[in-house]
This record gives sequence, C-alpha cells and structure tokens, in this order.
Amino acid sequence: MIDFCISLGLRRQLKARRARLHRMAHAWCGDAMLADDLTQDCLASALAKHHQLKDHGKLDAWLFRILHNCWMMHLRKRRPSLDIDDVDIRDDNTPETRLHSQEIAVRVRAAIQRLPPGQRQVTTLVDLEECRYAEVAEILDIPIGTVMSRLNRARAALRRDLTGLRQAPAGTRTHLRRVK
Amino acid sequence: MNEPGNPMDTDLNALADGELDSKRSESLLAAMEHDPRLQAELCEVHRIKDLVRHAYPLEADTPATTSRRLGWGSGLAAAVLLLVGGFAGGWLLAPRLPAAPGFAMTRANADPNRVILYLGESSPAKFRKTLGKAEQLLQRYRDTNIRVTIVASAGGVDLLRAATTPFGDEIRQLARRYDSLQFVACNNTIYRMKQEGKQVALLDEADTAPSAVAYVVDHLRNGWRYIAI
Repeated sequence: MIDFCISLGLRRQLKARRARLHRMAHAWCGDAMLADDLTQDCLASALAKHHQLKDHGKLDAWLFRILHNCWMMHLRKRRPSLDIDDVDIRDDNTPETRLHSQEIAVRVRAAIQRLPPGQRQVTTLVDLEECRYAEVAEILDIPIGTVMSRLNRARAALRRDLTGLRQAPAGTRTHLRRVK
Repeated sequence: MNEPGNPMDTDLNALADGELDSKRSESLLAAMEHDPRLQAELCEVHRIKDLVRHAYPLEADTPATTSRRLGWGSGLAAAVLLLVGGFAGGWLLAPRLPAAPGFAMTRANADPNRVILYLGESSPAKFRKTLGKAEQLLQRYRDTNIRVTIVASAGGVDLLRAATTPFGDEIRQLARRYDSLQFVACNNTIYRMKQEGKQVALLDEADTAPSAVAYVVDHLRNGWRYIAI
C-alpha cells in the first residue's frame, strides 16, 4: 500500500517533468520521435526504480541521469548498423533550405546537433535546465573539470557556428519595422 | 572565448553561469570595467546561452516536432538578438556596442494596447523622447485602456535616478495623471552601479525588475509590443 502511494506521488511528479525531459531528449538526439521514445523509456525506468531514489530533492538530477543512460543505451544499440534511409543526402543549397536556414531557432538547433554528444549534453543541461556544474558532473558521471572544458568547447563552437545571425534578412519577419 | 581550455574562457563561462566564486567574480568584473574585449566576450557567452534557451522553448506536454512550431521560438530568439545589443550594455553598464537604431517589434497577435518603451542610453534627448512617446500613446489610446511601461537599462536608468534625472517633475506628474504608466529599472544595471560605488536612489515612481532582458522577453511572450527609443 505504501509502495502504491509512493508510486502515485511519483507519477504526478514525473508527469509534471515530462515536457522538460522531452525537451532535453530532443536537444540531445535531434529527433522529436526518438525524443518521445527516450522520454517514455526514462519515465518507465524511473517508475520501475523509484525505490533507488533516496533523496527526493535530487529528483531532477536523478531523472536526467536516467535519460542520459537511456540515450547512451540507444547510441550503443544503434552503432553497429546504418540504414541507408538515415544517410543525409540533402542538398543544402536549395532555395527551400536557404529559406529554412534563416530561421534562427533552426540554425541554433542544427549547430547544437553538430556538437559532439558530450558537449551537447553539458551545454543543454547548463543552459536549458540551469543545472549547476556539480549536478551536470553527477548526471553524466564525469569530473567537474570535464564539464567545464566541454562547456568551453561547446560554446566556442556554437559561437563560430552562429556568427552572422544578426544579419538574418529582416524581410522574412514581417512583424519587425523601423520607426525612425 | 579564445581557445577551448583558456582559463579566461572558463572564468567567463562560470561567471555567466553563476558558478564563479565571489572573489574571482569581483576581480573579473573589475578587469572588465576597462576592457571592452572582455565585455564583448561575456556578452557573447550570454548571447549563446540565450540562443540555446530560445531554440528549445518548453512546450507544455506537447513535443515540438515541426518547423512550424519553431516559428515562435525563432521569433523570440530574433527578439532576444535584437535586444541583446542594447541590453548587453546594460548588463555590463558600459554600452560600447553600437546602439541599435529605434525599432518596434511585435508579434502578429500582439495586443496593441500594451506597449514597452525601452531606453538604454543616458541621453536627455532620448529621455524627453521616451516620455513624450509614452504620453502620446496614453493620450491617443486613452479609451482603449492602454498600458505603457518604460523599461530602463544601462545608461537609461539615469532617467529614473533621483540624482541624475532632469525630468523628475515630469515623471511624477505623468505617474499621477496615468495609472497605467509604469517605470521599471533594470536591477542588473543598478547592481553594477553599486559595485562601482555609485549611489542609486530611484524615484518613488520607479519599480525594478531583476533583468531588463528577461522582463521584455516575458512581456513579448505575453503579447506586449516593444519599441526601442
């Protein structure tokens, strides 16, 4: 009975965190459908292992650690095979892709996806979840020095990759107008 | 952000993330005061942080799956980018970046009766223009319950400081005349002024917000229109 009550309370807490977990999964894997699966796996795993959570104040970090493990498991499973349908053979110089690339958020997401996975995880945990460096180290099971060096590299790469955004053509955003 | 692993980059990142201890923060902020390059580097860290945040807006229970959904996120990111030139100076209190010319911004479904006037420069001419614009809007749209908020950051805060404003009487009169007019000063700027040993006493009519950027972005999300003076 006690177990049932704990599980019920945890379900509520998990439900309240689903959107944040999904956002993080999406930022890590770059694929909304896969993010759905990872989030679902994470939540199921959290429910199954709820007795392992000793400190409820660390629920967020615990969940992101499970999400990290789910993604690592996915990457390990995926590694041996490469489906030809997954190979990206897009021509990046079509009018459509040029128009698409004008969307700042799309460009930022693409730049984040170009980061190595470890850097991507660190920068999104710090910037999206506002995790402390020590929490990130705990979630990803890496030394805090590695967190800082990955963050340095990630932000340097993003900065190189995201220059010129200010020059994005204003004509595509009709809700912006000069008043003098 | 020079080379990855550069200790200065590590410190700048830690400062932006609130992870730098107070002693090192103090020494870095002091060094920054006379070093425009360092100021620009810190602004870049904030710009990257803002871009990451706004590329992944938190959607309540509904996963973001299509580029259409990105429209608002990217619009907001554009807003942040446009604002950051002005606000970055506010954050550092030294607006050395080229000042953006006046521009207005609004979402397609923005409420025309809620307007933010942003002031980021200590210029009596701009102070006068801001107050004039506010009164013009309040008078012209009096019947539509218009609300106007003047948000001051960086040098713009001087408009709301008792010791520096040339328009204290005008502000008091406007505030008495129009209940829907609000004055907000950026607390980041005030904090930096105090760090520099300046006395900051605001007019009674002025409120504060922790960060002018966050304040404006939140209001844009909620349908406010934005006009930079």
